[in-house]
Amino acid sequence: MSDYSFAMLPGIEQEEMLWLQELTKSYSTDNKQRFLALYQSRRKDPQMILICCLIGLIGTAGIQRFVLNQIAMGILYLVTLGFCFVGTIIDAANHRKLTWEYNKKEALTSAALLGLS
Amino acid sequence: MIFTFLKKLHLELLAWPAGLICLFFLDPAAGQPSLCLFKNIGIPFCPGCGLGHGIHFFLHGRWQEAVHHHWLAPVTVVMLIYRTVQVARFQYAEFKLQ
Repeated sequence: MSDYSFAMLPGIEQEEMLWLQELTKSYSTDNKQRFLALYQSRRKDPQMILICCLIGLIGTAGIQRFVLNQIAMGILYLVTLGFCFVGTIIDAANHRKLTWEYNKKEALTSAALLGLS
Repeated sequence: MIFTFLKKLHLELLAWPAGLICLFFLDPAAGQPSLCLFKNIGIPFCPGCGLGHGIHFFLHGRWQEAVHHHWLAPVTVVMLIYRTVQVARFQYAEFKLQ
């Protein structure tokens, strides 16, 4: 387990990697590995969210919100065709931040589940 | 400097309050322009039709008319404000970190 193990997560950015390294810096190698395995399974890939957004332009809007566990916003997007496309376009432009917001929460949950935080 | 700030800013933090403020001031009865992309292109039907009017009336305290225009109007306003607060808190935590 090197310092760069987080780099293999799909679609990871510099900011996320630095944040994860900061979060896990006091963990033992073993715990780091357990954390990585759990976080990997809970994390969402920004590219997948982007694809879900773009589906909203041709069909059902709001899939990205359901995937990111924002059920109420998802229903609003679904009923209003993604706020008449405006919301869908905003989400497509903003997909990295949306995903990072979700992933950050999941990282903290993973750490808590393993009793590390 | 300003660009790095804008790059870090969550777009939703601008979009939802801007939308709500526009809908607050655009009076549908006075024939002011509609925010709806569909209507401006010329597509006549959408499941969200009446939502803009509904939100306008809800923000002005005429709740019965709001529900009459679109039954989801109150839910939408509450959800958008909730989401804005959520994003703002996330953004604040990010800025504090730096």
